[in-house]
Amino acid sequence: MDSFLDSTVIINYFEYNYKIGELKKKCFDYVEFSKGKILTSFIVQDEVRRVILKRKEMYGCILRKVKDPSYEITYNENIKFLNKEDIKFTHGLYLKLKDKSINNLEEDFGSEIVFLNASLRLFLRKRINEISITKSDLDSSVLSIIHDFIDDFADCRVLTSAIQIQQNKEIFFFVTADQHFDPNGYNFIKTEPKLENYKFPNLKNFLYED
Amino acid sequence: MAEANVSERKTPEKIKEKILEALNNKPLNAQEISKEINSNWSTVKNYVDELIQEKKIKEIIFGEKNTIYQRITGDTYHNIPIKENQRKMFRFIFFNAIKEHNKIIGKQIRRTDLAKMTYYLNSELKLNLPLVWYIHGPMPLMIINTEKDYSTDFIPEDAEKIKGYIINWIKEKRKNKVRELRVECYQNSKNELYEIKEKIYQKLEKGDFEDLPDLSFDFCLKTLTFNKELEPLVSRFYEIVSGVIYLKLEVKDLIIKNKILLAFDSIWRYIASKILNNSLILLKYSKEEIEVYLGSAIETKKYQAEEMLKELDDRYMDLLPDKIPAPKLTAIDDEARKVIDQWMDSGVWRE
Repeated sequence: MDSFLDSTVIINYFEYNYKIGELKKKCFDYVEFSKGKILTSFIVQDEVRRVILKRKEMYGCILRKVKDPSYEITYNENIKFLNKEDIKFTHGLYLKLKDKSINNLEEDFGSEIVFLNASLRLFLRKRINEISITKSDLDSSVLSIIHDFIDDFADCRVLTSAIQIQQNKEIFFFVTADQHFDPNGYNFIKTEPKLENYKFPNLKNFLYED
Repeated sequence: MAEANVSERKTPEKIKEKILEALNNKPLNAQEISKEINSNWSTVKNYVDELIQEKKIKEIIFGEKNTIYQRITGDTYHNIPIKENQRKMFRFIFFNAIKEHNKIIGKQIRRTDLAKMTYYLNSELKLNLPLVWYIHGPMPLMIINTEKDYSTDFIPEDAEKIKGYIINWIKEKRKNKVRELRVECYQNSKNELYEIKEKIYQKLEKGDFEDLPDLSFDFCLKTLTFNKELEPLVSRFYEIVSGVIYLKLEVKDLIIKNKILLAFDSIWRYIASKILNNSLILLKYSKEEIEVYLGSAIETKKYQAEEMLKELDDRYMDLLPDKIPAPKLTAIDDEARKVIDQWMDSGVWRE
């Protein structure tokens, strides 16, 4: 069966190259050994790009704080990618890293970010068989119905793009590792009468698998 | 009756003069020109056509039916109209600056000197001249041509003071290197975006790629402070550049070095055209007028930037190895990774 990949799976797939972990391994093995076509949307592509940029900005804030302890990691006008919640995690990460050598931090941060960037470009070219649906292609009526079930608008956009791609294809897997796409909630969305004419992909969420 | 008045009382030259006067402040459509000179369009059109042939005005067509006419001033960028007293003041400054520079330094003044000096005079003496920020920083809207004779009878009220500032600038602020002059101007204006772009140009021209990923990320952040719509362009440039350096592709492939420089240059020219657009808004030109003066130029620059970035991206993709070497992390330990994983699992990064 073909698979539509969500951002979480793609990031975990990249990270498994340098960090072992159960979830990361599941994502890695799935993508690496999948026989079917790998699909995704430009929504997902942009989201992965953005999370890498966020991570770059996060690391930048931490480095600045390590070099200059008087610098405050707060949400302000100079922050371009991180949101207020991201900033909390940035502060948490700083606490774990504040005693590390600046040179090692610079080296780690720099190499991780560019590895992720380069991996994404390679992945898009060599591993993804089909990519479609930009933000402007999204079906606003489907998006709005999905939004009644899922609060997070970004999640709604990803799922809507997967549903739109599904319409003229054999049923594929919607592959994710995002807690917002739980099997019960997903099945509930499928019962929505306004979406009865829509084909849904099968959910494969690694967070809810043994 | 109105038409009869025009043809009876005014010579064709007078009518054409009136049309040019009507177009002095901003471009107008046929109806507006007719109204301004109190005549119907069928009469006016012949004179408008003649003025087009004489290259004194130009016709701009929007969509299928909308046509407006813009006066060709010839002495301002994009023929953007400036007031006559501003034109006279520019001439006065340019004339005296060229003269004093020759006298003090013994050689022709450079365009950058003249642009930055005018910016300095305008800021220090509050002259309220139309200056804009563009590719190389602040510059007068009136085109600088150091070969041109700017001699003028116009003598402003504070002529001696202005001349004193000109002499002082040449003696105290002139620099041998144009780049140093630009950088100082950016620093004095606290314009970090321009400072970073200058650093990037300098690195690219020298072929020194160290720090380029971080610089291009800073450039990305500063650009977004100016205009968030530019994110796809500048973030993609950053992604490619950081990948090229990480994989040391620039060592293996000289063409990509050149493509990075060309892509950055075209991206900067596009960004600068948007900055120029904003400068004109600050000078109180209406958005509609600016669209006429700059609309197509900005679109062309956007297209060129996207094309150059695509060419760079294609080259980058061709050079990418089948497998990207994984980073060897030493500082990001399990505890730190746990926080990163929690952040990713929380989904708060999704917006």
